[in-house]
Amino acid sequence: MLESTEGKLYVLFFILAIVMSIAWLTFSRLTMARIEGRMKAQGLPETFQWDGVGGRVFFYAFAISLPEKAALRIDQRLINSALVRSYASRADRFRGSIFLCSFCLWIIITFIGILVGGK
Amino acid sequence: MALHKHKGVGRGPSATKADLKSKARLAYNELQTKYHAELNKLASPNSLGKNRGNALSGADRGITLAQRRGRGINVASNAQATQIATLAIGISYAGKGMVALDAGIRVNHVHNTYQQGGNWQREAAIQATGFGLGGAAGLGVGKMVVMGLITIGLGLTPVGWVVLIGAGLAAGFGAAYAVDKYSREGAAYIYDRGRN
Repeated sequence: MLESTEGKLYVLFFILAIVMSIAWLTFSRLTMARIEGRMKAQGLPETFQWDGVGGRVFFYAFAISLPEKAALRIDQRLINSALVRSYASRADRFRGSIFLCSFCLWIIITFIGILVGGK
Repeated sequence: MALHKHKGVGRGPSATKADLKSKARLAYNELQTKYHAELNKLASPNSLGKNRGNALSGADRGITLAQRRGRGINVASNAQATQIATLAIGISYAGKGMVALDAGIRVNHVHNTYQQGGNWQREAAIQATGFGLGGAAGLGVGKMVVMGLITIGLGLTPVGWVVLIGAGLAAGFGAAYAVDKYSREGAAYIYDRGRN
């Protein structure tokens, strides 16, 4: 399986997909759900009414994991970065960074794989 | 509306502006005499006649709101706010519907393979991989593109929002298609190697 470049890329792709999925689940359950729960408990309005399948996890990950200056540049209408950051701990930032890095790396590997040429 | 679009300066344009302002006041007076009860329902009583509330609270409030260079979509009334909320819920259902449609097509694919006497377990493994990973990639890349474009100021006008949603969808579909295709190839490759 690992003798060809093609096979190596497939294996790398699936390993990254698994890492990304675990990071996604960890971040969304341990960070996003917790922060949303605390915001709801304090009576803050729900801002992600449009989100059907959970894509808001990316907004949370960017708002929490980016350096403060960059995070505050994210448009207020998408997510209130300053507010969300005030609930986030260092562990949340770490989980968010792992999630975003693995996701981006995974997408890059996909495109490299396609360029190198699948079967 | 005309006043909102009017952003000119100088002698000529400001004469038009004054004209538009007086027209807005006249129109509001007419509205007040004809639909007094309805207006009281729409605009909260403590904002009536003051420089607060929405455009229906008073002619001068309407003028102030119209002259403001709006950031994003200008919500002028309760009805428009309800429309935006409906749009949000619509987008939410559309998202769920797309996932359900994709799942349905894949199940159908596996069923066809089964009926044709093919290796349906292999097909199911391949399609499940494509479904999960393709969906995840589409979701992520779409959101990232929207976030990137809105930061460079595309969300400032209603037309910008249309472009934004379109670009987000296109990028999402592109990524989902690419990852779906690659992961199905990969799953087939690994499945076949694992069996041999």
